[in-house]
Amino acid sequence: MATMGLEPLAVLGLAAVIAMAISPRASDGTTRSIAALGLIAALILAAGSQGALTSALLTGDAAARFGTGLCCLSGLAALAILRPASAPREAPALILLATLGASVLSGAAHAATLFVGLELVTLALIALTVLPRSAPALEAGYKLLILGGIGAATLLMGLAFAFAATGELTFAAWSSTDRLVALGAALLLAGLAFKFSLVPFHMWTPDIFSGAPAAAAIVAGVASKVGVAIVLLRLQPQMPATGIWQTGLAALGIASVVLGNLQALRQPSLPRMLGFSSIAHSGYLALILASGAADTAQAVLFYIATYAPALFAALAAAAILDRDANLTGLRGLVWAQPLTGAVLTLALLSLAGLPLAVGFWAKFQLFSALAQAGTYGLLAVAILGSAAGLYFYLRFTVTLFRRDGVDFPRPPHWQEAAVLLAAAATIVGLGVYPGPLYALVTASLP
Amino acid sequence: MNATFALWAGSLALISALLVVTRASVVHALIWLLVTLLSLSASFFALGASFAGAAQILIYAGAILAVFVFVVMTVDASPKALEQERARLGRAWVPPALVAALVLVPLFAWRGAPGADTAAPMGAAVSATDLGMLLFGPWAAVVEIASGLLLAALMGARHLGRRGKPEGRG
Repeated sequence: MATMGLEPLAVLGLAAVIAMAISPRASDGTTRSIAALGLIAALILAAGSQGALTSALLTGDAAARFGTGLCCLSGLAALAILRPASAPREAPALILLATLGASVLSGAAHAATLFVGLELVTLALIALTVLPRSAPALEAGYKLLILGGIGAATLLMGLAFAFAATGELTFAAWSSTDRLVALGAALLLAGLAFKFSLVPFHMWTPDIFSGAPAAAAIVAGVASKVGVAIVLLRLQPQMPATGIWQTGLAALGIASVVLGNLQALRQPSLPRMLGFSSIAHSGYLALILASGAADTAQAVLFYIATYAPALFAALAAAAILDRDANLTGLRGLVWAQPLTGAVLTLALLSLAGLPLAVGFWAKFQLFSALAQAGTYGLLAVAILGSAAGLYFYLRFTVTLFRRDGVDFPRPPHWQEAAVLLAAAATIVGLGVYPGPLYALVTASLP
Repeated sequence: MNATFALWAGSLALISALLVVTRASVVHALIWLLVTLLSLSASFFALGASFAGAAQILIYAGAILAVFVFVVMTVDASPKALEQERARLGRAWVPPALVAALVLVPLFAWRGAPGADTAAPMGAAVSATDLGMLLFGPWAAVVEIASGLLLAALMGARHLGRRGKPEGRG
């Protein structure tokens, strides 16, 4: 199996430093171009490099490659929808640092890289969140700072317990059945659930989506989730079967699916609805992990890869519409701005899991994994959650087609249009013919 | 330097940490925090982690506490505010205490369980040279990534500290 060297991470870090160093003098366009070049180079290197990481800290296996690639794509999408008018010049460097953190996380095989990667994503995300310095953004940043701090402390406590019992910092430490390690595993799960926005550790997510720039929401919704999901996938086989891990994941997953979907039901604001639905989607992933199905890893990676383009498109539309991205402001969007309206429709249908959009295959994988594992209780929760999801996604979709439209502030920039078009092509292309993505995911198992 | 001393210093740290979070006056809390940090450092020395003990004194008891002193200057310490703080502390201790109990009870309950390792893991002393060899050898990548962490924090702090009017949502 082909492995990845350190190059993609080095390129991301170098590009972040260059983008930061030139940002006071160079124009906004130059800084962004350098950041975009760095992301594209890292993407190509992650896909094509043949180096091998020999360190015990980081692995360069196929899953790390897949995670790094997806993080770079989310970084590019975040860069494209960052509005020049309000984005300070250091924003591209912050996006690169967040991407670097998520990539480190997807290659983490050791407590040190796990913690440093997680904190790098969180800190860069906090800085991205407070960029507009408006009251909602500051509130979201404050919540993320305090809750993220609690999550990090919980995680460290868990790592310390495992180290105290086994004297081992690699993920292999968790296979011990020592009771101290079991206690550590519970704390580790709670710490990771903070970052994965699982109920009851989800309080920061809706605020990031509605108060922060859409670019920060992309990082929180895709890059950081990819990293944490791959960490969960790597930890899963190490955990003893009788431990708290599976039960805890199932409980967190059920709570997230139920609460995320219920709170999204009555939500009039598009970004806030996406925030609650992001909690529900994390819950579906936790359900797959808890089921212990044979093809857990395929289903999880496939689900995230299909969730990403839909979220890119929906958040790009939310960034274009800015304050009007709610049920009244979205009326008649399809007629007034055909591109934004049509792509937003596709994204919502994909998130709902309707056929011909790629989200359908993700939901199909989810249900078949849960059914194969014989966990019918979890399957029932997932089906009920998806049914509720159908209601609120279609509620927004129907609004887009109303004839009594309102005036829209501005058409999309070319970068935003590019994100919309690429996301739409991915959603429809893979929705009709999901074969290539299946092949890629099957080749990218950890 | 032995395990008994480490245990003693550790209990001192625990007691003074409890005093930190129960003091109404921020200055008193800071002094107890200093005691906590110093006794933690003592227990590090006793366990043979002399570098971690020295770093604890230099960084936490020195640099970080100095930053806290600056924060204290901006805090309202009038008797009225103190009274308000006391009233708030009256109820606030319940949830953290419950969480602490949740962690501590299994630790004590399982102490005598069969198969549990009751002996403290007393490793060999780690010298600063060994640590440096590790950080600049196999762990160099992590050190570099941690520098990115500081960079992100620095940019965020600089942005928040910038003067001028807040900008719109972007």
